[in-house]
Amino acid sequence: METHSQLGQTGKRREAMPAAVRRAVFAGVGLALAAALYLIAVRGDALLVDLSALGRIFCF
Amino acid sequence: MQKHAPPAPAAVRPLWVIVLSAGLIVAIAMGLRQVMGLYLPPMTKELGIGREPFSNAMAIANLIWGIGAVFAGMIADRQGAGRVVVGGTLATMAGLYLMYSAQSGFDLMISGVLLGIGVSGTGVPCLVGAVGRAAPPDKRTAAIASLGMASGIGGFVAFPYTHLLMEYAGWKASLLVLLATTAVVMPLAWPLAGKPNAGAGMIDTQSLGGAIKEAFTHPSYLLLVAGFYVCGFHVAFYGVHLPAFVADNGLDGGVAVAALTMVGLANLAGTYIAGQSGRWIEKRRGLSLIYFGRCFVFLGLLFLPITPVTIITLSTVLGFLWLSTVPLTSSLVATFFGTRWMSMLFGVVFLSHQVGSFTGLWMAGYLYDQTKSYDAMWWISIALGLFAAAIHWPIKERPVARLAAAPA
Repeated sequence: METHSQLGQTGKRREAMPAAVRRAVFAGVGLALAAALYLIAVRGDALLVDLSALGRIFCF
Repeated sequence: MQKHAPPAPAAVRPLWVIVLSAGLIVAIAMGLRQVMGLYLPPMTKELGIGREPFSNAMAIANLIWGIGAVFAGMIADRQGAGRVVVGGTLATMAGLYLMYSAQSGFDLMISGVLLGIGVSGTGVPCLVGAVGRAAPPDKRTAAIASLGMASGIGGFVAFPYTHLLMEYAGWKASLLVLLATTAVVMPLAWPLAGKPNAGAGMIDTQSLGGAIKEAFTHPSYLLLVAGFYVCGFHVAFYGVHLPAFVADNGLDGGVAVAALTMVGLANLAGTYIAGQSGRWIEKRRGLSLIYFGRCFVFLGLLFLPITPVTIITLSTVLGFLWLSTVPLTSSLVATFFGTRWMSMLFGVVFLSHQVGSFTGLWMAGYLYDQTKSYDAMWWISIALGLFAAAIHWPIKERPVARLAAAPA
């Protein structure tokens, strides 16, 4: 029986994402990012109020 | 000696299912974590408690996140990430509910503790082991980079959405929406469920104590821990103090918004590139170049004329070098010690990052108060960047003798 780490090491696991799923993921992420950018653009003034919080967005 | 065990669900699922599940979990968890700062003004106003209790609660959450990541990683490495994710999700939901129903600063403190435990169980450090074990070595860095990108996307998207939600539904109702969103994480834990199965001989039967002893006597690992401190220092300082720096230079606040937005977007591209970089450059050298590159950005902020174009351009460059360190650093941990205790050992590295974040924020505030300028901080950031670039260069990018001697 092949174990977990062996599967990882030999690369026999099915790895590639099906094309349909990939398209859906890209579409979903693209839509979410575009909407977020739009919101940031149109609500810039409101966001400024919370600029200190915005500064923490990208801190890991 | 070969150890045979029934495969866990995570062992039989395709890699992409594991990466997608872990990515969604991380995106939601990091998104939630990032928006908490938005609740400062309305909560302190409504509860009439001043800013200190809320700030303390968030500081406690960050501290517990850093320490908890080590323990969450330890449990995930031993019992599987699925259980840890479920536990972390429940803690997050409880923390959000307590925040929703808080009547005092003490309630917020407990909420901060629960939120810290929650993000420990659902953040990148905890899941890096599950993805690292599932991916073959040649795809490991790219798979982990997907987690880093998901984290970036989660934070990027969550902020404006929550901002909008709070405005239209009110802060209390928005917390309930966030609570419901968190519940989505539960079923996503399924593909990660099950104990990580052991592989061959000594590689997988290493004890916890043995792993800790091995790591803390491994010079290259210690260099990695020290280097990631610098990463935390840089990103926390820049992310939090950039708006004040922009305002000090007489620029409109919108420049800071645009600059941080560019940091977030470029970060996605930079993390992706870092994930692919293993094909043409060693990870340690990639890390050295990232830290070295950051020095030029800080030099630019010291010597170039500060205009909107300069700030946004330099922020974009810095964004490319932002969390691109994560896939390279975590993959190096797996290169050194294998994936048996990967989450825990990366958790230790991550704790160093959080200490760096704390130091960067504290020092920036202190030095600014003393000098009324960020110049000293830029110089310290340059010095630390050079230090990090230098200490990554001599890292020996090869497995410990124990792994090298093990049968393939």
